Formats: sequence, structure tokens, C-alpha cells
Amino acid sequence: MPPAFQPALAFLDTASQRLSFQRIGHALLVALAYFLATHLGLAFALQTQQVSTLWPPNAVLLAALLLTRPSQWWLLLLAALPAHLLAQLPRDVPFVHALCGYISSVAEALIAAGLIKTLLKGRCPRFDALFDASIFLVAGAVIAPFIASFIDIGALKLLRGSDEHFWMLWRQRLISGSLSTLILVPVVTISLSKPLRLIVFRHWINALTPLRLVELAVLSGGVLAVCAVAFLGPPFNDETHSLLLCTVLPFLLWCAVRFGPGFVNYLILCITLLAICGVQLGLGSLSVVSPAKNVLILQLFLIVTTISILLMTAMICERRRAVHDARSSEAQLRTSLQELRAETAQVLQLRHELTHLSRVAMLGELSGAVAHELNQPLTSILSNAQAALRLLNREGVHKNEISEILADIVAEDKRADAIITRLRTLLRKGEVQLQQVDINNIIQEVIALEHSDLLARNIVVSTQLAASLPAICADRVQIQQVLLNLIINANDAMSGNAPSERLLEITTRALDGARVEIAVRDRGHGINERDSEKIFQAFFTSKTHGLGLGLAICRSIVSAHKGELRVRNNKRGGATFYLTLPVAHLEPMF
Amino acid sequence: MDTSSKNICIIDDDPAVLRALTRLLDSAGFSANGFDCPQRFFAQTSLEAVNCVIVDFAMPFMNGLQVQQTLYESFRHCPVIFLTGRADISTSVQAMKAGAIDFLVKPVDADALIKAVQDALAYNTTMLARYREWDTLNKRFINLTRREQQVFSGVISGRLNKQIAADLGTSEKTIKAHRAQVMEKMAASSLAELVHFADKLRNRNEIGTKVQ
Repeated sequence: MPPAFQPALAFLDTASQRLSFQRIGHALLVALAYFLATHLGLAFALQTQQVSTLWPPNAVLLAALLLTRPSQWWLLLLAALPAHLLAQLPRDVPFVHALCGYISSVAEALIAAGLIKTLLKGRCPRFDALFDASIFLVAGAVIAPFIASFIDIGALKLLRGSDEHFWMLWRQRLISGSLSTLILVPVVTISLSKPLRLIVFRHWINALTPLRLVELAVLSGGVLAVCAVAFLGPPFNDETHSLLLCTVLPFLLWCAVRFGPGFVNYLILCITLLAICGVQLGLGSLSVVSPAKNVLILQLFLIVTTISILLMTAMICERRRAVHDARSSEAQLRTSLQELRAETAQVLQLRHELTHLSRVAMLGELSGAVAHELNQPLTSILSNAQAALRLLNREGVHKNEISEILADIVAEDKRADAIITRLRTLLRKGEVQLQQVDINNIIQEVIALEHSDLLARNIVVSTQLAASLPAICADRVQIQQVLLNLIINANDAMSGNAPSERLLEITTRALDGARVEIAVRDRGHGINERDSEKIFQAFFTSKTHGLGLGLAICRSIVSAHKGELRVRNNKRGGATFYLTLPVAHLEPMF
Repeated sequence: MDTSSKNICIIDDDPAVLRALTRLLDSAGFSANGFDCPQRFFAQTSLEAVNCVIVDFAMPFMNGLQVQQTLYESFRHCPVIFLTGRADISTSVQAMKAGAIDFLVKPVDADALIKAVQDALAYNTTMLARYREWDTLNKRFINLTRREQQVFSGVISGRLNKQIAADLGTSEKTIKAHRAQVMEKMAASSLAELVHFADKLRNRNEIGTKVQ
């Protein structure tokens, strides 16, 4: 095989790859459509006109180009050539002229399609998007016909020579081309492009209840009736004529708003066809003036109407989409918010339970001490009662003594009850109850609870409680938990100390009238400077037992009460924990 | 035993418990005094007349064990009964090793307490008797002259008069005369009794009283 044939063979190879059956089928379809469109266009031409009212072939080409990938365009355009020639040549149109006509059609289609595809990044224009619709309008209905008209009319003038004015013909060609694109391309592309069909019709078809079908029928019926009267009915005088034309607009608006771009384009097509038929047959209100003027008026009216309706529909769709998006994102946000709220509630619940568990564990540690505390009243009750029994067995009346004994028994019983109640309150999970509490009172209760533990460890407690301390608004149980925790920590810190160094000091004072400060000072081993913030973190402990949650929970309780908990090492050894709580604000009586 | 003359002291820092225990012991016929803190107890003048002490184990500043140890140094004849709310083994062992008479757990049953007190008083009586006995013997011993004391120690170690005379550098006759004096002053009726007395004098610790 001679080397010269190599590139040709290569080309044929790729060409055969490109020429799949589907593509050939498409090309043939385009050719057929073009052929029919040409005949249709010729039918639309008035006898007196050089340029047809509506020229479908260009629209067919443009639609074909928009619907396919640019790699296929060469085949489609090539297929249109024989169709064009087949349609034109039998009409005694010279070959060269027909060719020029073909070239101008192709040019128009190519310019429009090229611009649109480039600007829309290869996709077919969506008529429910304002940007796409605008690009389509500008490229397909303005720029392409503008340039193509030059080619077409220029060729016409040069080759056939015509007695009509260049610019007038050019204008006719421009308007005709523009109108064809506007009327036909949307309908064809929407109908034939599956994605477009889905996009445009999905929203509307899904909402097609029987009622809406009826509405659509009424709408269409109304429009067509009006058009039939306007374009096919007997001619009226001038004023009615304009009025009738205007009545079409509301119908179109109604359709655009209620049924979207697909239906509206079909409707416009129907109106156009009716109008053109009317003009061709010399019927309708437009026929009162000269046919040429009729056509012009009609074309202009249709162009303006179509452009406005296309843009308006696109805007309406966009707005609807925006609203829909906003609503769905709002709905999403709302569900996220609800989930967040549920999770927060859950977290709060868990924290509540953890606080409770920590409290129970702390009290568990104290159980020995508490049992000891309860033993005291039990001892005195038992001994008192047994003393009374013996007294009764003795001779003589011991009325006074026995009443004293019984009074003591009652008092001791109440003391035991108080201890148990205090314990029960602390063990209960209960809801947080904010009330006005006296912090000195709470401190004394906590010390009483710790009493036996302190004795067992030989720790001496010294308290300096400010006399007239303002009340704070707090949950009694939780504040007791915090204080208990601090005291237990202090005791643990001092467990290795010599007996003379086992001193626990608790002081309260008012800070600038708005806060109350409680200081728990021990003489233990103090806190490492590095750890002074870490000790408040969860699971941090220097003890051999326990989870290390105590101080973390204390801090969360204190911040829930809008207070502060900090620690500082003492100069003389040991650490002091400072608990600051806000004073309760008294509600004004009136 | 006439218990009304016995002096029983109760030390407990809980005033209600103190009152109850005092009442109980009073109703059982004892004469009891309550002290709510150890310092006040030690401040009373006639500590040696205390026949029994009931002390709470867990008290601030000075706990029961410390009270018992302080008491033990000076007044070994005074028995101590511990009362406690915690019944752990280590505490009770500690208490018993330190020489407590008994260790009772609160709430304490009246019968148990009274029995413990009676045992304590019996112990106290015994110890007091022993002390008196020793005291008497001690006075008699002090009454001996120096020479007589030397003879005394010689006699009870089983040495013959001859040997004692040789030890002390005097005649046997002198020794015999001293021996008779010793026997008379010590009010011993036989050598065996004298040895017995000497034993008692030596075993001061048994009677639990500080050597004067």
C-alpha cells in the first residue's frame, strides 16, 4: 500500500468509527425534517414576498445542532445539503443560489449553536433558567439571524438581482429568521431532549391533578378560541383588532405562571400557526391593512410576545426554584435544628445523670461515716429507753426523769430523721430546683455529714462564716455536692500529713455585694502549677481510685449556677479552692 | 458490791449520748459522771478515786485510745471500756492490745454495758486490793533499816545466816537478831511468807501503779 494512502486510510478508519448506525439515523432524520421544513416555509410565504413569514428549516438545523454534540455536527449539516438542494432545485432556483441559501442557513445555525454551546458550556439551553433563556435569545434570535441575513440577502442581491431595497429585504430576513428560531426551537428541543423534557415537564406534570387538566384545557381552549376569532374570523375595525391581539397576552401569562415553559411554548406555536394561517387566507382582524404590513405587524407582535413570555417564564421558574430551594434548605435546617435540640437535650440529660451518679458514688464513699452518724442518735434512744424501763421497775415515782427521757428520745429520733432526710435528698436524682439558700447553712450541713469521716482521719475543721451573708439562688443538693467534693478532696490531700498539720479551713465572705465567695483551704500537698486547669477536666485524677470526674462535674454545676471555681496554692502549703456564686436578686414586690 | 459508792466516768463528745448513758447507769444503781471532753475529765482532782472509765473511741482532738493511754500511765488500776460506732477489726485489736477491759459497739445494749461495768468494777476492786496490799508491804519495807533490808534480800535469796554474816561482815548472831526484826516488821509468819511478800513487792507492774 503506497504511503500516500496512509492518512486517507486513517481518516476512513476514524470516519467509520464515527459513522455508527445511530448517527446515520440522526442525519437522515435531520435531512428529512429539513426537507419538510423547507416546504412548510415556502407555504408560509406570501406571493408578494421574497422572504417567507416563517422559515422553519433554520430552526430545524439549530435545534438539531443544539441537541447533539459538536463532533456530530459535520454529519448533520452535511445531510442537510442534499435535502436543501432537493427542496430548492425543483423550484427552478439556480444551483449556486441554492448553495448560497444552504450556506447562509448553515451559518445561522452554526453561529447560534456555537455561541450557545460555548456560553452554556456544552449544554442545551434550559428554558426554565434565565441565563440560558437570555443566551438563547441573544445568540439565536438576534446575533445569528443578524449575520446570516447579510449572507442570505447579499447572495440574493448578487445572484438574482432584485428591485427591492437591500435593507428592507435584510430586515425581513432578520425578522423571519428570528421568529422561526423563537417559535420553533424551544418546542423542538424540549420535545426531543429527554433531560430537558424531564426538567421542564417534571415539575408541572407531577402536579397534574384532574383539576389542573381541566384548567389546562380551559386555558388552551380559551387561547385558541380567541386566536380563532382574531385571526380567522371576519375582519373587524382597527380598535377591536388591537384589543383582540392583546387578549392573547393574559392567557399566555396564565399559562406561563401555572404550567411552565413547555406548555407555554406549545401554546405560542399554536397561536403563531393560527395567525399565519389567518394571514395567508386573508382572514382575521389583521387583514384590514395591506398584507405586507399584516405580516410585519404579526411578526413583530409574535416576536415581542415570545421574547417577553420566554424571559418571564424563565424568571418565574427561577424564582420558584429559588423559593423551593430556600424552603427545602429551611426544612433541612429545621430538621437539623430539631436533631440538634434533641441531642442537646439528651446530652443535658446524660450530664444530669452523671452528676447524680457522681453524687451517689461520693455518698457511697461516705457511707461508713454516715452509718456512724446515725449510730449516735440510735445509741442515745436505746440507752434512754432502757434507762426508763429500769426506772419504772424501781420503787418510787420518777415522773420528771421519765418525761425528760422521753423528750430526749423524741429529739434524737428527729435528729436521726434529719440525717436520713439529708442523705435521701442528696441521693435523689430529682430535677434542679433553684431556690434562695443560705450558704453558711449548707456548709454546716455538709460538715455534719462529713463529721465522722473527719474524726476518723483526725482532721480538724475550722470555719469562718461571715455573719450576714446574702442569700444565693441555687439548687441546694448540687451545691452540697460541690462542697462535699471539695472537702473530701481536701481530706484526701491531707491524709499523709502529720496530725498537727491536718487542718481544714472553710471561710465565706461577700464580694462586692453581688457575689459570695467560699474558700476551702487545706494543708495538703497542693496542686502542681501545670495541672491547675487540668484538674477540672474529665478523667484527670492523681488518686489511685476514682474516675477523676468530681471536679469536672463540680465545674459544670458551678457554671450552670453562673459562678466560678478556681484553685490556688497556699504559701504555707496546700491548696485553696475558691467557689464564687452570684447573689440572688430579690424580685420587687410591686 | 455496793455500787453506789463507785465512781464511774463517761467520756463522749455527743451530749445526747452522754446524757443517755449517764441515765442508764444511774438507773442501774451506779453513780455515773459524764464529761463531754477528755480535758475536762483529766482536770478533775480525784482521778485516783475513779473506779471505771467508759470512753467513746472517735472524738476530736483526743480520741478514746489516747485517753486510755494517758490514764494507763498513771492509774493502771482504772479499767477502761471503749464504746464505738465503727466495729472494724483493726480498731478493736488495737484497743484490746492497749489494755482495754472491753470494747462495745454502739448502739449498746443496757445489759451488755452493765455487765461490762460490773466486770470492770470487779477488776478495779481486785487491783485496788492488790495495790493496798503492796502499799502496806512497801510501808513495812521502808520501815526496815538499811541493814535489815540487806538481811531481807539475803534471806529471801535463800542464803544461810552464816553466809549473810560473811557477806555483810558481821557476826551470825547479829544477823539472827536482824532477821527476827525483819520478820516482825514485815509481819511474816514464816520464811515462805516473807519470800511471798518479797515477790509481791518486786512485781510492781502487776498491780498497775506507778512506783512512788
